[in-house]
Amino acid sequence: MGVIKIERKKLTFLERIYLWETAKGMMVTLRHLLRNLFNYKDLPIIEYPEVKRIYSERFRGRHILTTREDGTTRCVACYMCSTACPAECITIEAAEDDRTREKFPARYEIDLLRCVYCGYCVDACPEDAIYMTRDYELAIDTRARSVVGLRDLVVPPNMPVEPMGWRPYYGEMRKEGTAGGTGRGQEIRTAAFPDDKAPNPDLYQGDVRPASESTPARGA
Amino acid sequence: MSKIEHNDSIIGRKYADLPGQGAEKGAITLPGERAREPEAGEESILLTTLETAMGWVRGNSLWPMPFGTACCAIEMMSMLASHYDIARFGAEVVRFSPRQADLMIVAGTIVDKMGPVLKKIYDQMPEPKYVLAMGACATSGGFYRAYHVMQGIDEIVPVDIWVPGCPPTPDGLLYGILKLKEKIERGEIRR
Amino acid sequence: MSTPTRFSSMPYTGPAPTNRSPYIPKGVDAIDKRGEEIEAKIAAPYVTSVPGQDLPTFIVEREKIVEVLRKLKEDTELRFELPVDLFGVDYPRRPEGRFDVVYQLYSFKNNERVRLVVHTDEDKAVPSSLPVFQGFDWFEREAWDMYGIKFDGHYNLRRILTHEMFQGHALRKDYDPAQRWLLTEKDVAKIVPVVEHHPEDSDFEQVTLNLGPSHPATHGTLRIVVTLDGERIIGADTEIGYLHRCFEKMSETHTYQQVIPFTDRLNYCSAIINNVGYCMAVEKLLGIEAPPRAQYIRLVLSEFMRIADHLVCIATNVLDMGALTNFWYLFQPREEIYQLVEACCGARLLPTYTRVGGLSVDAPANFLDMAKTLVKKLPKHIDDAEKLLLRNRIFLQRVEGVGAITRESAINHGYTGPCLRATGVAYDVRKAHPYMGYETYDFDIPVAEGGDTLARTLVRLEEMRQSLRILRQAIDRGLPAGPVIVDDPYVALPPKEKVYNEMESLIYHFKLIMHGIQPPVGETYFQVEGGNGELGFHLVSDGSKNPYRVRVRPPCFAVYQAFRKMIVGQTIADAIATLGSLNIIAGELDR
Ligand code: SF4
Ligand code: SF4
Ligand code: SF4
Repeated sequence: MGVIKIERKKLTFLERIYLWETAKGMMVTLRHLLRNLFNYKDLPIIEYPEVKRIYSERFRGRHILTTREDGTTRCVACYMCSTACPAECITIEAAEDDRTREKFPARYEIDLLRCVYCGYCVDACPEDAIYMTRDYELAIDTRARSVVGLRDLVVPPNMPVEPMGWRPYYGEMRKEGTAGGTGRGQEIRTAAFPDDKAPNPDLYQGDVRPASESTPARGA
Repeated sequence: MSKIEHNDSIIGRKYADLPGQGAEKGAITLPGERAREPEAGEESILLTTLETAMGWVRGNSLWPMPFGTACCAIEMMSMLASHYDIARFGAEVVRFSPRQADLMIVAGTIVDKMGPVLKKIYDQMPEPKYVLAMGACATSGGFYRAYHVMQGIDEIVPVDIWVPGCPPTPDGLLYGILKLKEKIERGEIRR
Repeated sequence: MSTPTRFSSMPYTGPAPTNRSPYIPKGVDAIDKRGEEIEAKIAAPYVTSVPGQDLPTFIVEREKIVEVLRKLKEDTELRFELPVDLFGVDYPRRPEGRFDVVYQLYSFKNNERVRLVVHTDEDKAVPSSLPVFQGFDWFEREAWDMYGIKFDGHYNLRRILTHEMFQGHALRKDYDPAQRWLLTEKDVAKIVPVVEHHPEDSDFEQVTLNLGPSHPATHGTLRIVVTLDGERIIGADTEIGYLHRCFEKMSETHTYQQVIPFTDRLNYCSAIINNVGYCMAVEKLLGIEAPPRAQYIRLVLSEFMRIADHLVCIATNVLDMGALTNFWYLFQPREEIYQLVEACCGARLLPTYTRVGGLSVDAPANFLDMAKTLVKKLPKHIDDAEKLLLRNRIFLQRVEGVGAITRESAINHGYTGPCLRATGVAYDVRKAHPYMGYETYDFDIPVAEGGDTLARTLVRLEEMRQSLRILRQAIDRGLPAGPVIVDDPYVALPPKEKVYNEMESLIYHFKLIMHGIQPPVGETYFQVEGGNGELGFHLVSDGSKNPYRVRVRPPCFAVYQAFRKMIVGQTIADAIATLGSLNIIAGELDR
């Protein structure tokens, strides 16, 4: 069995008089200083708001719900994600579309403060419906705003996959395509959900209340 | 989007896009972004010049007092270290004494046993004081719905900024501090 | 083409089925044989061996446990010297007593372990094993705190992890996991350390000083109370539990997969090692093994995490001593390591990367290139730090001979990892019980003499070099081909492509998430070398989707309990240097 014994070296005279070693230590610091001074570009610093770090395509940031080409959510309200979630921070209420007999979420809320960004919901989804993005700038100033609903989560169809983070992998991570675009044909259900207009009351009854009502602010 | 090439680092960087154009942002709405839009009447609050100046001064010289207990504290240390260098925002004067600080960064799980300590330290801080809750645990207890974990520090102290994440990345935390700075400069927090 | 997804039309399958098959460990015959041999050596009527376990296991009569422990320790052929673990398990309504107290000992001489089990009840006290193993001090207090098991003769049997106002015993099966108790400031107990020797003719008064829990040098969560005579510490006591996040109770209320994010948060400086330890324990229980590619990636990331752990330890240790420059220099490479981790796992610090049976996702295509860059870059930073530290007279004066612990005392207190190696004992789980193919790599165990703060720093610095050596060999070998997770629908989620397109996979997917992994009924223990020493997971399975009991063997817990003895006779500045070098990670200490 390989064992190496580390011996302590006695300080030499030169090291004991202290000044010489101080000078050597200063040299190390000076080398760093000079290197950084004349090679400003190689500084390790990331000047955050102006320069951003590129996180990998697996980064686990805020969630989104993907949509089909026609703008309806892919989510079929199967409760897999909320079952797999260790933080129990996903609340779903299912409803059924009368025309197509398809289930969809009438309410889908994620408590971003409870969430531990583990990605289990993405792994659990059988419908390619929930992804995580590389969005990490999540700070909020009221607790009531921490619960995000369909209006904040659903993205328009054909979102590029480029800004996405953790998402289901198909053997390997897919880089091309669009969010939720597995290329499977989907029958058209209803009209599209234009991002900023009022949601189609037929489909999205959830999340019409102000967020502050859904979670009463505690404490304070 | 231009990449910044680095000689011997595997960390990629890029210049940030203009607001609203960012790939990270794009069409994705931020949590509560709609709610953030000013309501009618809110804009009519006029700040006096003195208050504006005070806000500006306060916002640019935050002296943080790190109250780090767990994993989040490690990421907070990353924020203080070379890569994110908080000194650029005038907040590098990390004070471990509550008497000399005005921003308490609560990073990490606060358990019931720690609660009185947190409260005591908060009480010792001089006015004006701000509290930033970092990470799932400090903000809400996270996935520890358990017999010994406080379900969010707002049970005992008022919180000004909530930073979700587990742990939030150092950039995420910096964003929170910048938001707090904005909030102070706007004069929204007046204690 | 219509979607096969109609969950509402799926038949309801009733409550989750449970696995009823018993757990049969690998090589059980040899273990049973060894158990009989040991039983013959002790030769006592109150010890009965239990066959079919993964370690030689004995049931010992309650009153005789100390005697048996002493025999095992002092027998010249057995020499079970290292107290590894002591914990309770609750089986309500069991006729022979409600609780199990489980002891585990390790023998350096024979490189083997034994497990002793004592049945006891709420009102029956177990004799305290402190006369034999000092290292069981806190473990017994924890068993009292969590289960209410009494230990006769323990000098200080009070709550350790929960607070003073806590009612009931949290890990009992009938305790509600979310029942909290309020602690207010006036309820906080005052701790007065026992003064060991205070010379009568001292010029100074005795002063009792409280450090922490919010003190910069205690990293937020440790509380140390010292009694000072002038500047000298003449008595000290420590209080922990300021980060008790109920890991063990939480794992009983979550499924086997959901425990993985919780394990991340034990030793958060080297989270992947915890993931690996836990997953390998479950894999042992299931009798499966991760594919070679997964093992390789686990190994590479584990070693990088070990380096990051040691970097943080040294950086914060010297930061506490006032050397700020090193903090910058050492945190720089750490950031790069996290970049690699993030590229694989999607999160920097707490990756939640491994799954039972393999990994969640394959490593990125440029994994080896990034690892190569890092391995080339790291030595420079370690050298820089070493240059600034080890030839520096101020640093040496502050660490040499400070916070020393003797070899015997370290073993008796259950030390493992760098702190034990700093006293000259060459024990490393990677060599003693190789896993993930560590036996095929060529590396050495660094040891140092003296057991002081300098020795611990030296060991850590050298260990980083050894880790780099392993990494270089690993990179030379290259990534093995193949899948990263086992192909077993009862353990691993089927690939997404299949879930979308095949009914059968979809049902497996559905079942695995609803019913979880259900290992066979039994117990197992698995250990890995964590950043601070032996990190072990003891799992008890009752065949359902939630673990019946998950016990972590936290290396810090054993290391920190000797701290109050190590600092007596020193100054506060020395105590702080010592504390930093022990690398106490609160998440793991308090769980
Ligand atoms: S990332 Fe994890 S904690 Fe967050 S919602 Fe998904 S499963 Fe829940
Ligand atoms: S997001 Fe996916 S897993 Fe969650 S309810 Fe919708 S379809 Fe099911
Ligand atoms: S929020 Fe997450 S990272 Fe932060 S302290 Fe809690 S568990 Fe740790």
